Amino acid sequence: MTKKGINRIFAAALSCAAVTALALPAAINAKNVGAGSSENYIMSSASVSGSYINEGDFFIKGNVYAKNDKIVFDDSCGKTASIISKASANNYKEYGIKDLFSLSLDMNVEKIVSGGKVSLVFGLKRSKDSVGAVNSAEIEFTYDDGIYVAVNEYKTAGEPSAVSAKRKYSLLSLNTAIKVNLRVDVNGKTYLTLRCNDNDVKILDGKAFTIDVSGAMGIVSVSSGEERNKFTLADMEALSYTYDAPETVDTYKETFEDRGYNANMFYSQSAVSPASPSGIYVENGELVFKNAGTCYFTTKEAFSNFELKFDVPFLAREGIVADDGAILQYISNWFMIGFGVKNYDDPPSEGIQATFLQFDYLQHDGALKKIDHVNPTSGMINNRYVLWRNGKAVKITSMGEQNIWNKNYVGDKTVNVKFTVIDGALDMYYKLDDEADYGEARFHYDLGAMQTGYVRIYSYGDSAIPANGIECVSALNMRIDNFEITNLDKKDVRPTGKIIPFRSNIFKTAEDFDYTTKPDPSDLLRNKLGK
Amino acid sequence: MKKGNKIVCAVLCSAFALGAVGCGGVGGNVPDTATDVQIYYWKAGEGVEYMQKIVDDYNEKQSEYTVTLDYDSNASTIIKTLDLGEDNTYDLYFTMLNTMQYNSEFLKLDDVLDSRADGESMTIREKIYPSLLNGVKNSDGTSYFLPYGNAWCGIVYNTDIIDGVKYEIPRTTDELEYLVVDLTNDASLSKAGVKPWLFFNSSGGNGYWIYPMTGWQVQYDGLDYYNDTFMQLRAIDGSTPSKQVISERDGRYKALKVAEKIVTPATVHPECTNTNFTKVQTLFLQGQAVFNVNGGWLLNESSGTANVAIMKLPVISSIVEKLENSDMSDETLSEIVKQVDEGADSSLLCSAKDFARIKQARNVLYNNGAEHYAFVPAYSKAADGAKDFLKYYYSDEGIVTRMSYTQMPHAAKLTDESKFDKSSLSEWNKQLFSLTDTATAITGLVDKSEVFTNLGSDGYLGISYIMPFCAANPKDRKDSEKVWTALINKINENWEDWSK
Repeated sequence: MTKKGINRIFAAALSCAAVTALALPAAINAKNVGAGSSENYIMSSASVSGSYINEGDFFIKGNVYAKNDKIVFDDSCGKTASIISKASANNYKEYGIKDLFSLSLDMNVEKIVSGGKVSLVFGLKRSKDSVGAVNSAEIEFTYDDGIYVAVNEYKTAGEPSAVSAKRKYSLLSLNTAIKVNLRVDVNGKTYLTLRCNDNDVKILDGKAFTIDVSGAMGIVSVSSGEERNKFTLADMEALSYTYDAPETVDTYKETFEDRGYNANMFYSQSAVSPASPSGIYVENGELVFKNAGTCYFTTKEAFSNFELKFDVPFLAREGIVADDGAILQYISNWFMIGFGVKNYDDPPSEGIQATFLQFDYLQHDGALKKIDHVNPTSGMINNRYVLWRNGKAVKITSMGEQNIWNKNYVGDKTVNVKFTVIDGALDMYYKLDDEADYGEARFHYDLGAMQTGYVRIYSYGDSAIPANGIECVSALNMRIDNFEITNLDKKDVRPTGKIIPFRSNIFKTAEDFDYTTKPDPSDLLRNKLGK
Repeated sequence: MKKGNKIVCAVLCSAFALGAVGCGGVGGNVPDTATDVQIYYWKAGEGVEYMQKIVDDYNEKQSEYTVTLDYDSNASTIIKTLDLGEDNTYDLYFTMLNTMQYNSEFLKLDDVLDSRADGESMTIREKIYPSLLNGVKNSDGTSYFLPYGNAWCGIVYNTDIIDGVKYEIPRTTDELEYLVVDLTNDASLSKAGVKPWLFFNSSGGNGYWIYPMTGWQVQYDGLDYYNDTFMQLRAIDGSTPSKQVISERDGRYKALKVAEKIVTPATVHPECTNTNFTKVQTLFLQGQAVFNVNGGWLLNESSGTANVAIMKLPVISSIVEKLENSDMSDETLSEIVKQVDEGADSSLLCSAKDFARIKQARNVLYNNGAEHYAFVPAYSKAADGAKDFLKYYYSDEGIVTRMSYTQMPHAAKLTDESKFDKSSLSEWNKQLFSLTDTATAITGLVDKSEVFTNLGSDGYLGISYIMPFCAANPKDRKDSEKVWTALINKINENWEDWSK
């Protein structure tokens, strides 16, 4: 497998990117990326908590410290003091990603000493680089009866050349928050705006650096003499992108003919269920989940951006109970579509590492803790979609009336399901097979980052009779067909044309062998021994 | 003859289940006599084959005692037999212990230590490495235990990646921090899915991280402070246990700071959430990570294609706070460490006192050999036989057998080094022997505060730190300050009970 551009420096912040996106500045929300990308935090305010800066995320020098969630440079700092990200922004232009990085922060300057400067540096290539390093750039703040700003690039170490000449900006003032909004695209074009007292000061509007400014970034304070620059930084967010494009098939459709499924492409597993008989198998050209408790059908190829389609010709929407009370067919409680699974043979208990959408229909009655499989009451019906990630529900929405369990809606028709994940944004659709198109997504959520891994349909039901009784067994009774998965990674940056040869998952039954040969009497031992 | 371990286990289970030991005691159908020595051995990474060979050889060499060997890979199963007291028929144990509650039921083994194997000039006390022996001594200098292992523990690294050319072995923790960042940002490694760290965690615990963490703690605080003050929780006025000592923001905090800087969501392999250590070790040895926290037993347990070595513990950069020259740069510190490695006795770059401090820090490394205890229950009817077997275990012949089978150093030295040929050992195993000659072992201590003894805990008191440092979910992620606060809170909540 080839992994491209895996660089999750800020996985911590990244994993709640969708949640925090609401709080991010507009410059960051304005995503400008191509298919297959993941957001990658280079700097985040999540690394600063109260009076503590997490040094897993920054190199800190010169006694920089935090107070009240702000990063503080003051008289206690060294002549040169800095906070530099450990993560780097990488240029994924070839993968179709448009932006190198975007950055925003609030800077409140009390003092910049004469002969000193405050530099917002970026493009640092090596872990020990600082301001003035070769092939880096800076936004330089100085003070001389007013705040001066320059943007410099360093083709040679220590020798700045101006991208934006140093000049005084009278709209910028001391002791007032200056919001820095910086965006650099993959061609080096840079957009820099400083906002102070509700005034926007546009410094750069698309002018390009002549050097590659990918790399780490941070803030360096250079003071002069015995005095020190005094300023604080808050709400620091720097976002870059990564790209995952695992080598896999362009598209693969499994129709579950009599020969089974392609065991080179798929894998299935089913644990014992108290509802008998149980299992997952191919029958009559369909994949059957029969009273399946904990089971899964999964790809053996990893995907980052993909479209998954499959048909559901049957789903147990009502149970069948014999006269003696024996349950002949369980209503399907739920099933899940998982992606980003780390190992294709991970059991669902380890699926908490993956992300999955649960089609959650049935539970026992909250009070009675029983399930009526013939006439489930409203108290037994969840009727919801739940998106799970790292073992936590991140979004829950109602299925509504037109749901896959509603026999009045589905009738005896086949349901066509479509599930897409692009740039970490998932959309789930379905329609009846006589409907022309899928219409609006029935579930949407933007995770903000790729979840590269294996894709599976599965159930996580009971392996033993639950305390509530046999009628409360969680089991899946469903048949699926035409399981088709398509790689949506950007075509010109991923390997294409991979072929998965067919190997049936079904053990061949050996034909009876007709023993027609006759033994040579002289070979018989007793004849040789003459007895 | 006594039966094998499978029978023992079966009988054990039923004995505990029934709460009765009327079937002749644990050990199955074994004569509990003065001449039948029954050993219970913890089968860990070093395997059991060497011990079986030593037992066989011993039985062959003499006729007074008959030794049988039972073993189990679960030490808890072994330790449970001690609950049986005098109904326990085991005469000699080789195992780790997670509790010291039984110590008074063991025989002191100083007579063994002061004895000599047949034909040898050195006493066993003289043969056992001093730091390991120190780990098992009581406060009065006597000993219930003999150390039977010798496993160096720390940071294992992939020598195909840290090749000394593109990437160099770090000499200080700041260098390690920079190295981890460079490795994380290495595009070719990223494309191959290689991450800096891959280690197992023990169900929310810290796995083997206690080994380098204790190492950095000792480097910062000094070995004497660790042994005499911290592990004893001894205040300046001599009183114990001291809440002030256990609450001190000492080398433990500095070690947390190191770990915080190098173990982050970005620097760890996804399988770090795996509690299956064999799977993690296998992935590491397949080259999926640069560093693994492990010990000398690694290649006895797992195999792979990657070439690996164990690293001398990088000197904690914050040690400069304890030096006369507290403004020493990390570059200077690194240069002095280099001089130490080259065998220097002094440096023009620092004072003699600072050099000694740095030299000690550079040469300490955790060794869990002193937590592999050989001991004899006082109620053993075959105690003399058990002691006689121990003399053979520590004889040159026994030492050579163990070293030949495990390819690892023994807890004791040979009287004649030429009896074991190290030239054919792998580089990995040669390094383990080399460390035995050069490194100073940090060990667990029998002689320590009852707070640690009763809790069965290390200096972090059961607080989880390594997984919170690299938790992918930001809500679960912690920094050193939060971990330390949790530790202090735990002390404050429990001190009244602990200090009784």
